Amino acid sequence: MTTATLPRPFLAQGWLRALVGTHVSRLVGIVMFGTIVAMCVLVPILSPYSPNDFVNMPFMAPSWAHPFGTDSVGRDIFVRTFAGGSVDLIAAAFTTGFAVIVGTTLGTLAGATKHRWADTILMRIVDAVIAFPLIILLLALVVAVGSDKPWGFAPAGLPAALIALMCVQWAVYARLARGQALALRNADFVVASRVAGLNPFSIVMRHITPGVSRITLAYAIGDVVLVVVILASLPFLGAGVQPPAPEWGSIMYEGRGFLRNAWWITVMPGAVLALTGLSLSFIADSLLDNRR
Amino acid sequence: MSTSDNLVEVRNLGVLLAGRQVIRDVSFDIPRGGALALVGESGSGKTVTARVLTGLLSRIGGKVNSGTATFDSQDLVNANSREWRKLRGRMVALVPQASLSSLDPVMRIGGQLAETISELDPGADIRLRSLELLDQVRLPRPAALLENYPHELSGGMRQRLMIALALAGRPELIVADEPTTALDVTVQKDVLKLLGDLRKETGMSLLMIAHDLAVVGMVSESVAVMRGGELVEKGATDKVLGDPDHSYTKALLAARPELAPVGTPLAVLDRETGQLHRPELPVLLRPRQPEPIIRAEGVGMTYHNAKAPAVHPLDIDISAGAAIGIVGESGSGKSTLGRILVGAQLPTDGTVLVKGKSWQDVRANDPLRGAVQMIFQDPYGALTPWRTPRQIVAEVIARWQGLHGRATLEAAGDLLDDVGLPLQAMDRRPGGLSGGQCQRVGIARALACQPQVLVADEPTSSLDISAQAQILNLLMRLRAERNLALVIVSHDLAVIRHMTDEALVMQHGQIVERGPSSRIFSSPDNDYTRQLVSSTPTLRRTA
Repeated sequence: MTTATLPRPFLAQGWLRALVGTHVSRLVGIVMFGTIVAMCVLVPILSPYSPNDFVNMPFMAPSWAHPFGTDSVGRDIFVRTFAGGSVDLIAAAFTTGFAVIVGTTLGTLAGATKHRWADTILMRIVDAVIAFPLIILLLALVVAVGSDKPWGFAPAGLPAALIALMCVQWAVYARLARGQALALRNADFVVASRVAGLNPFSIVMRHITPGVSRITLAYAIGDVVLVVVILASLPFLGAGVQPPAPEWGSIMYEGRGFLRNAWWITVMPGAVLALTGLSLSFIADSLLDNRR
Repeated sequence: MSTSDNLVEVRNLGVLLAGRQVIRDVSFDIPRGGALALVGESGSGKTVTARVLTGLLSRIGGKVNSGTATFDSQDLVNANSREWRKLRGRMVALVPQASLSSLDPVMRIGGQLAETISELDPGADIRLRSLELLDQVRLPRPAALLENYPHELSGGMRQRLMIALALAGRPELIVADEPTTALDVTVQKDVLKLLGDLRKETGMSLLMIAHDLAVVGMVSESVAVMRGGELVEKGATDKVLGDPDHSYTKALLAARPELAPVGTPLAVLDRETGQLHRPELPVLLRPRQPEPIIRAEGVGMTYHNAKAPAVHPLDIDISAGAAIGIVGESGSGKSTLGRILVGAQLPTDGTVLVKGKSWQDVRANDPLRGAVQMIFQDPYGALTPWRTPRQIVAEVIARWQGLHGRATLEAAGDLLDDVGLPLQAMDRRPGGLSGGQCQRVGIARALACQPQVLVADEPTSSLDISAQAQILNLLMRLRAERNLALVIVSHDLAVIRHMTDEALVMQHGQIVERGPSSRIFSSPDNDYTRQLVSSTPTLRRTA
């Protein structure tokens, strides 16, 4: 008799059930995060003002007309927060997605390969990258790339941050995937696949990579939060997205001087940032939870 | 009703777990100083029943919803946690199955004993009592042992230690949950003997949980057989094992290889009709082939940094249709030898030639790669958890049989059907299948390579006895139909004797005896083989 107790299912079968499973915290996380993403898409479209319009008096406290109040020059913080949210979330999703793909591919190959020298070389590179201070690299890149003009859709200051993150972030995923692949390469089912003469590439793709991806996915969701926080803290270092483009960090940075009298300029986008992190953590935790 | 004779009385017990009625109407008694063995396959409810008697049912979320269970007239079903603290350890003690995970890995043996003694026997001289307990379970050099950590003890010693911990509170009843399942047969015999001796010395009662009917005969005078949460038969051990009344008990006995003539199909209980039936086996066609498929010459294995070789250099030839058994206890090198023969691992000495070509020179796309296949001990671990049986087999078929697309899926379905996997199981993930079903999938994957030799490493040791009979029948049928050579690696002498013509007995990486299976197990030449044979619990052939 197995001794695990199964939580009672609370949703009917179907795609929603498949997505949420039996985790209440995952459902809460998905609903919260979905709401924030929807606001980031809808608010700039439906709002009568653009993020850079001067709509009212400066330093107005939150009200029905301006739910998050107005800033030092009378712009609507509600609109700016959700317009800036898409910058943070898209940038974070983009760099993390890039890191997951590059890092997982390299790490899985390193873990699965017969050639130990290839593994050794890659992992020493990973060590070096992880040891390199990200902030220094970022500031150096800001100087090199410049932060005065936008690149396509990316507002000024963002490209340097994106390049720096892409240079660094993949290394963690390579290490993560390698560890998993090393554990899986001697699993009975991989030995069985080898003995059955399957070609090495399909063994990696079908029998190792999917086993690596669950933990990687959970880690990546946590990483999105981290990247959002890094992007939001860059303005405080003089890097990051440059004004007047809205971004959570730059809005908070502009409000830092008025905390005593106009707390909402900093706190409102900060609260949205915190809720984003919380919701993603709920989802990531539920993925790592092995109870079924 | 007088309760003085019975220490434990269970009446019409019913248990609800995760919304299912896992125990239904179970009644039994354990007399003072007596023993009862609860026997059943996985899912029969034997462990849940034991949890009722040790007050651990609520831990797994189970609830008694009918009947009573009493210990010395005290109600166990409604006992609260304070009452259980008085009962547990002092009146009822548990010897769990997994001795390693039940001990604290970072605490010395002395510390673990002291903790238990001070809780259950306050006021006792801890050191004196510890030594006394270790002595009671016949552990050698008890004083030195107090300073050891659990990982420094062998499996058998750890299980003795678990028994010593259970004895600390001088309980009147010991509940032993499969206490010897993970142990080698020679060690198992000693531990079972110890339990018997302790009963005589202390007058305690014993409730033994087991899946193996043969083990029961060595410790308990009465036995109760469970199936699907119900008690189907109970009585004196001799009677139940010798002349069972219930068809399920008969099936459990008939499924055992030692009771059937060598090489004949084993009886299987038909779930729908409740009847025993013996499948027909095709006649073995055995064209003599002078040239062996596998020729191992001086093959040995010494692991990096190991003091002694895991396998000392040895020679084996395997020709078509042969059936060879490799027997040994844990650490004997038998599994390593099996992996070397299939080419999953390269030997450090000698070479294994497959039709004259060394494994070292056989690439993944060489047709010879498919010629030797392997069946694994852990049926779940052998299947990629996120792929369905049909996908797993189809992938291999696509590789070797030149089929594409839908045709491979159909061929996979046919092959899975041939090994007896039900249609509805073909598209489920392995986690949703039974152990026996997973093992069938593993066999189908091996067959998809159209092999000539099948190396099976403990193919049935993690399966229930009825699933074991079905898998052994399947292997015998495949051998006959396809003239497959079988190499069976196992600790189970009954399986080897039933399935093979020739056997090698291994100890410490060396072959201590080899010869025809029928001769080796009836009149062994070697001392170690003799010890193995005499330690193996067997049922006498009756009726």
